[in-house]
Amino acid sequence: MNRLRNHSSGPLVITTLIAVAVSFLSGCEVPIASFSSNLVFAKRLEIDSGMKMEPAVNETQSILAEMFGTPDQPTWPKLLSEDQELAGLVSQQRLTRAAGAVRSDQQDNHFGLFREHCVHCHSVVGNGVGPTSSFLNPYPRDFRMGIFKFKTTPKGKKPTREDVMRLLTEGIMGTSMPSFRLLKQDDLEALTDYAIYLAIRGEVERRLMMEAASELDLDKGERLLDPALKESAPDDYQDQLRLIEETVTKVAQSWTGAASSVTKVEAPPADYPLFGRDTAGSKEAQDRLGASIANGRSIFHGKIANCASCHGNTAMGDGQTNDYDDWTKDWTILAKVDPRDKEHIQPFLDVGALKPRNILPRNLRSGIYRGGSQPVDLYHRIVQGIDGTPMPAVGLKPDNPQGLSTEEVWDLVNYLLSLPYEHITQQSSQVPPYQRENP
Amino acid sequence: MGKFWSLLFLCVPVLGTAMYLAGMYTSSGPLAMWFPENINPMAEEIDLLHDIILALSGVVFVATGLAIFLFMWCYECGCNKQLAKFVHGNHRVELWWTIIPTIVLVALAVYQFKVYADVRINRPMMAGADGVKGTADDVPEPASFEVMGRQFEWRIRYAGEDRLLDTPDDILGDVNELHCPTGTVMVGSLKSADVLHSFFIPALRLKNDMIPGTRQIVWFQADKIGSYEIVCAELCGWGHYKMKGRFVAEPPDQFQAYLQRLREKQFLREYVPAPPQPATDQVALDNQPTN
Repeated sequence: MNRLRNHSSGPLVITTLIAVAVSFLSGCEVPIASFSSNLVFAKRLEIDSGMKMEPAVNETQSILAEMFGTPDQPTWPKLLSEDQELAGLVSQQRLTRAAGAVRSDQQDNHFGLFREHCVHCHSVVGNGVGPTSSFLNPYPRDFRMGIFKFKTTPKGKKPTREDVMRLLTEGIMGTSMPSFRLLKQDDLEALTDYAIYLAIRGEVERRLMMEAASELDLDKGERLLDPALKESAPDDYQDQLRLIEETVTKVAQSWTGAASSVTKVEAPPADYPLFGRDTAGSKEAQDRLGASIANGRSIFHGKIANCASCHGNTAMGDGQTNDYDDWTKDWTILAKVDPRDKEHIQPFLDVGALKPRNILPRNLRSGIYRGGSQPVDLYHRIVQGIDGTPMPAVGLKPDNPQGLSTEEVWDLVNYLLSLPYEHITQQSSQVPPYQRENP
Repeated sequence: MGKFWSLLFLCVPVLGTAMYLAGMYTSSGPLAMWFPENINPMAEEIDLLHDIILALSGVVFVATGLAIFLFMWCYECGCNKQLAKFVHGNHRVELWWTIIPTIVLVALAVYQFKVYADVRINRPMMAGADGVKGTADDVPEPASFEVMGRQFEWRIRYAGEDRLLDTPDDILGDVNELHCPTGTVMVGSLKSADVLHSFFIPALRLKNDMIPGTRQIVWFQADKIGSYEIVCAELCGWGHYKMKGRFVAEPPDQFQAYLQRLREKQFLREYVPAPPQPATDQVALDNQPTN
């Protein structure tokens, strides 16, 4: 009994106090967020130009910080907000709302939305190398090339605002991008602005670095914007400044131009057969649908669309399987680096590139369409191709006499929609390959 | 320390009971953490079972807490100068405290058989070949909707006019939004695209794991119009906590109109600048009825 009573609780109390104090003092330390440089692209330019890119990287970074701010305080460049046409592209208010640390107010309005919802995969600078990225297949999108796959505008054009918004609300089936449909409309608008902002910032960064690598002799100390010239040669300084501003404006203009370049798809006549809608319809409708699907099948295997060459004769995406997407090609094939050569790619992996993976043509029998499963979505994919991927756009009559007519595209759409329900053992083409004719 | 430890231990039953009571009888604020209102008549017995088990375990919880307090208070070594006496058990008492819990547990197990069977085994049936319901050739009612869990969202599909899933006339639902008509028994099919998820609609008392590679069948009936929460109840990855959906119970005619809207959207063959969003989008999740 006495032994127990003499046992002092002093050390225990002190240990506990120290533990509590340590956890209080250390818990709140958060590193200051900053936009990282595009070192992978710099590496490629370094190989291309044979110059050390470090000064250009640092300079680009400070020019960008001046114009675009930091992850905690992003700014929409002044020269863009002063331009009447470009001012509406991104609102400063929404940027501020989406940026910074995650926080919310008493009314449950959330701020720091990008870090709450996106940063895990897309990372702070939007380069698609967040903490989870290497576990995901496909990799998260790198916004900085300004290329977006699923949109309503032709290949090479930027997506419209609605296109970006749609990706956020619907998510992208078949990838790790989930839907954010239940977020408030304001939140989605803010995130859309922020994604566009990051894309523009990233593309400006690339262009400035490219400019530095191709036009300047960095080894001799030439700079994109030399503050020394401000006093000694103000005209030269103004020229340099103008060049940078033009780059920013050009990138922003490519975004504002998107809305006017939308591929406006007109519906075929209402009685034109459609898979799904007419599958259980009248005998006549079913016959017409059957004919449409058969025609679609021959287009799929035919010479003009030639879908089978990549998607495979069975449409399971097993045709051409050794290609790469533009995000990978950007630092491999374009830099004359073999993506399969481990030693060759190692310097790029060291600066943050993700291990190259082949881009696989879609398995069209899975019924999963990343860009949406509406007939109009498939139509867009066929006539526009898919940016950043080897999927080409098919020409349309009458602009392209060698191309397909819109009816033929709708037939192809019917065939695609029917594929998930077609038995896999059945031969997908009625005509053996050696007997096929050019339709 | 005197009576400090005995008083500290007294706090366990007192605060525990207070928290439960506050949770049950507070309607708003941080303490209001009781179940949302049950809108599923097929699950009323689940609530009843919960209440019975809570009452039984509550009695045991309070009694044990009080007993510990009493012993600590009476025999605290600082004030109790009596020497300890060692007792080698009491056969009769041990018998009773084994028999009574056994009876209670067996009774509970037998009582819940029916509830479990109704919720998990006795799938709703519909008339078979003879066209009459309730005869021997009844067939299980086919699932009229499908929910696929995916990191970190719910993908919804409804059976088309043929009332079967996986056929060309299936209707693709809005992501993260499940609609159903009120007053109708709904049978649904659950599956997962990647990892284990658990489909949980608290207002329906419906919770079922989604297991990759298999289909799970669930059924319920929603009797009150409103918008309720769908949550994931199985840790499925870093975004698990954000894996929310909206369950909308609406009158049958509105449900049919909703399906019609989905059909039109699914068969869209022309470019529409901003895709029209269903009106239910305006119903924010936090407006859902809770009690």
